[in-house]
Amino acid sequence: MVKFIEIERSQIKEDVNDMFALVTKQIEQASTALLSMDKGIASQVIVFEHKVNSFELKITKEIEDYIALYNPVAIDLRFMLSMLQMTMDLERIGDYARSMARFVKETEMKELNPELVEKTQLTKMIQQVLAMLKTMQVAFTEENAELAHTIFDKDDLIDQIRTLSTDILADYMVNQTPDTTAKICLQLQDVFRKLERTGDHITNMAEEFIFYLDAKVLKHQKKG
Amino acid sequence: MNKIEVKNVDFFYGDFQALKNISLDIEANKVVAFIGPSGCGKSTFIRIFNRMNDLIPETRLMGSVKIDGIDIYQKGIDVDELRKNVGMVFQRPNPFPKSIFDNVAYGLRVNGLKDKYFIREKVEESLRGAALWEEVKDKLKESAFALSGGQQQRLCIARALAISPSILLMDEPASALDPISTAKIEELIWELKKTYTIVIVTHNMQQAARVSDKTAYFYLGEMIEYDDTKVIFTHPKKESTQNYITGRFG
Repeated sequence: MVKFIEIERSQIKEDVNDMFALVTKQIEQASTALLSMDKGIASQVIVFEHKVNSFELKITKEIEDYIALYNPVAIDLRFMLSMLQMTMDLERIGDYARSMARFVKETEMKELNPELVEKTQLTKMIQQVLAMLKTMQVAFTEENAELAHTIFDKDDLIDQIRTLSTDILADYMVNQTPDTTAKICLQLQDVFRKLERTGDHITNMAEEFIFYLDAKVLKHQKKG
Repeated sequence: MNKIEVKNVDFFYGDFQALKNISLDIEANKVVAFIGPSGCGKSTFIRIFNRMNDLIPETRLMGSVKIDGIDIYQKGIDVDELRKNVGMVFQRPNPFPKSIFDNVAYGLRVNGLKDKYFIREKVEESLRGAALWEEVKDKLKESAFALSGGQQQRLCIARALAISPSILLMDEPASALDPISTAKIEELIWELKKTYTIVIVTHNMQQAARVSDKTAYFYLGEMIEYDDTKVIFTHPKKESTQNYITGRFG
């Protein structure tokens, strides 16, 4: 491959990697803010959201230029398509981090009920999401399709926790007296939904990355 | 039945083996592109379909090449008849120093046709087939050299079509043309495949991707991979093919 084209391809990968690191940090910070109800950290997440969006615009433009100028085919074309999709997934995950942060910033709740956190397995869900993000980033950096495959099973636990959380939050709503409980529970339910969607987007990224490396389309198929 | 069937073909220039054990089938009314770095054997291979290599001393072919089920290398084959059936267009337009009309009529006259009305009809039909008629219908008596490079190439295609072949061989037909003329040739190939089977050699990867139904990749006299063009340009099976089409070597 011509040297200057190789450099531009590497630059795109580097930018996606940087965006990945930023989005992972956003989810980490949003989770910390959520579990400790720290409005200061939540504000930081909201402020940094525009950086995620800027990355998306920059990378999309770089990919558009690359396709227009160098007509990539085969593995290079798959690389560009998967980077484009992964960038969109990362941007959505960034949005979810901001949503969680906004909940923390705007809620009247001073702290999360520890018993509720325990029952809903919120911490476990957050840990699983972060583990998936980190595994996916390693797979991405090392171009490791085998590691990307391990993402699919990890998403099942997230789906499971989210499904159970609905009943637990509904019970909690019914058995608590303050008027604000219902609203808070609905907002919390939305947080669970966002975490679950984050898991879905990481799964999408794994599919897209495997498509790039192995030319296998895994979308809408059983992964087992 | 396939239009062209090649089985275990080896081809030699003296002691040098230019093609090694090539086998492939080409369906009728398809466009097949041959790609590969210079010296890989693709031009040698395209020239076996009309036995153009016979003109080079000390060459020999082993294996079989069938067109419409007939082995074109068997004894008794009329090579002139074969070349009427298998037209060829070259890299550089090579019109004769004659008028536009006479260039297209040349093959018909050489083949003994004298009916002026028929020849006029056939010339118009061929020029229309080569998407050139509208541009030259009012200047048929003018020299072919007055045409642009792209028009000259389409004139050569019209000349090939006039003798009613069923196969068209194109050896880098657009490599000497500007982008607009290239686009016209590519559009023409797309139209012509409704009637003809087309084999094209090209160094332009994007051209192969745009115009062909199937692509064969050659390297050092071997056919490394032959598959649907979409497969070759999205997920080729061989690493060597991928390296070539992505510009990593060749």
